[in-house]
Amino acid sequence: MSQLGSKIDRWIHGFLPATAQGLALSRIFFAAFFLITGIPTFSWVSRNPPGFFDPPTLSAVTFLPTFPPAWAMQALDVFICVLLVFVLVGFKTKASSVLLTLTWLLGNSFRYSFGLIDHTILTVIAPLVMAFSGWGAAYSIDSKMRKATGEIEAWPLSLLALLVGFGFFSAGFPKLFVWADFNLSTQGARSWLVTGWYRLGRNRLLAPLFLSINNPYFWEMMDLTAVTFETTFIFSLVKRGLFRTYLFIAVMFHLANLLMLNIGFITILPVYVIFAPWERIVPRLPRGLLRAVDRLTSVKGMVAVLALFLPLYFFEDSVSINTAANAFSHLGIAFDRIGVLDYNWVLGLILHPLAAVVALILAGMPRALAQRAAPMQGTAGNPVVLFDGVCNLCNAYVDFLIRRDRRHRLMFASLQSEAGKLVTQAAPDAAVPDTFYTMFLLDSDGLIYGRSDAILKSVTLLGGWYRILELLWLFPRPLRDIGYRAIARLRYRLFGTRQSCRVPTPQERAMFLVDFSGSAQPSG
Amino acid sequence: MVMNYGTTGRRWALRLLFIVLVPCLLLQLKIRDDTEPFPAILLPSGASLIKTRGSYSGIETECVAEDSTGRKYVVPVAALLNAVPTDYHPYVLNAGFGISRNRMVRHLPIPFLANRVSIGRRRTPEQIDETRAWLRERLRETLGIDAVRIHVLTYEVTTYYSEVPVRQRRELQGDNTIELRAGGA
Repeated sequence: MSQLGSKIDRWIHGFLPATAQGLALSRIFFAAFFLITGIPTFSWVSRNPPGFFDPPTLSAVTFLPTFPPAWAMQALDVFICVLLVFVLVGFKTKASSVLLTLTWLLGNSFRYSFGLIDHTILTVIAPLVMAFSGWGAAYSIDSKMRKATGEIEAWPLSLLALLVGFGFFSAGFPKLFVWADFNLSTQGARSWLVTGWYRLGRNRLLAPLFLSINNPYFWEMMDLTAVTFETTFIFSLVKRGLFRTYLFIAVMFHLANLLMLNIGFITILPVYVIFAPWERIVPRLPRGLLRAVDRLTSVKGMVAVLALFLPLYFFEDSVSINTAANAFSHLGIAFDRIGVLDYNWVLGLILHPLAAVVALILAGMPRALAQRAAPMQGTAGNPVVLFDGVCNLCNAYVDFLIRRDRRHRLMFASLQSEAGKLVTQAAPDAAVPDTFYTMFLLDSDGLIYGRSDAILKSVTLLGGWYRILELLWLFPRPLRDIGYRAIARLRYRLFGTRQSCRVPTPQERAMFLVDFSGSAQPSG
Repeated sequence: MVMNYGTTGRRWALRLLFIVLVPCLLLQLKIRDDTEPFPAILLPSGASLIKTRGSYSGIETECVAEDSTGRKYVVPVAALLNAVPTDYHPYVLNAGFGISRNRMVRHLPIPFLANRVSIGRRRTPEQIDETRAWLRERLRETLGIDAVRIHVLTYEVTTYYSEVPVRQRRELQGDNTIELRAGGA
């Protein structure tokens, strides 16, 4: 029982890593996203007669006779805007986040009283869950007032991940017994396309192309793909890497839905951003940007942002209802006034592909397997490529690097050497004893990279034309590693082995790290 | 930055939160079959099917206002419902503007208490008359007519999507006539 309890605890508190800066940046992104693209507003509901008030029976407002008076809904609108600004700058962050969700839910209870529930719940509930993570512990007025970073909690990330996984399951489960019928004469995804096309006029982007496809195998495959993705998302919660892979697929899934079905789902994006690998992103962000964010999250910043957004409410009654309800922001109102382009459509067209590109970059971003506590001696601050000294393929790759590394940026060591052992001990999960299925790269910060990350990092360090290979970072790491692993497992059979470990020639000796203490001794 | 699992009580509270949450989430799926609750952690499903070669039938609605002389006018729904986002228009029309269809009152799905606990609220005659007056005023503003009734016409539109060119057939299916005078039937 205690073992099970420990496992549950480990998952709850350690499924996703939480850092003060990462949580803070996801908080700022969340609030800024809605302030820029469209603040939730609800005062328009009061312009309607009581006959239109038809809330879901199981709803918080089901006992009310009609829509609340206009002044109450206007107060709710302004309150939500103020709460979004408070969350943005991290002022009374916990209370502001909880209140934001509660008021947003209340507003949505009225919004969804016209007979249709829009499914934006994951976005609305995110601030409530994240309120308990300490996402106001950095880049916030709170942290400046308390002059302390406060406590960070990782369990809200696990909880939100569970809710996202279940959300997708709730979408896929009813389809499971209908779409996954292995019947080529009935099609599910195509029903969305045909219904949207003929009933709702969704005939843009790639919709005409898909409408012309009559191959039943194609549509059956689409049905099975959608059902598999949606119903299995929740099972990705067993492993962090798998969950992030599913998030990557989800972003692509939403983009595909926009292109094929003309259905956008951009409000979910700030929720996905919360799960981004902030622990790897933050160290790469420009210091100037972080300083600017820190300056914005101040009392002065809060006053400035409030002054920027609150005057919008003077225009609330004069914009079209779709702008008031969906796109209430400077941008949305500007588009409304110009009246040429559909703002929500334009926004979806920009944000979905942008999210896909960012997801590609994040999926391809190198991931350190471990970090050595102390930098390795004798490297002179240069990255070290650690390779299987008896493998012909690995040695050929090292020869290739040595020939082209004219500026002597790289150092080398075999995995069988003392230096290699230190690295394999630091990253035991990746290093399978005696087989050396992965090459490693130890960078100047002591970070250890493996597999395709090590290959890409080492080859791009050569500079010149090899920098073009940086584009391969856009290729998701899990997919890159599948190729790497396949070759690694077959390398001895395909390329053969040496009888003994590589001994550097006198010319190469300066490039080889032969002893971790720094003294020059042949390795292997 | 401080990270710990906390006290034993706190650890158990969190374990309990996660363990209890799972059946609660699953329960929502069961409830959704009857009526979708809000708020609930549910994403849209839409488990519909069409045949590979065949037709798709959908319902289209149209609004026609009628004045006291019996003259009829096609009503631009977007203008009439200018305070309702476009996505919700079909739902308001299907409910006959809330005049021909009242709000649902449901019994809570609790064993043994099903007949005693009910939730929801019916519209009062005054609220329905208020809605009628609102619609008459909107029709006066948008069409400049003094309408006495409004017809919500429903058409079944069948699209033969596997034919080239695509053929559509539109058949009147229903006429929901709504009296706009106070106290109308």
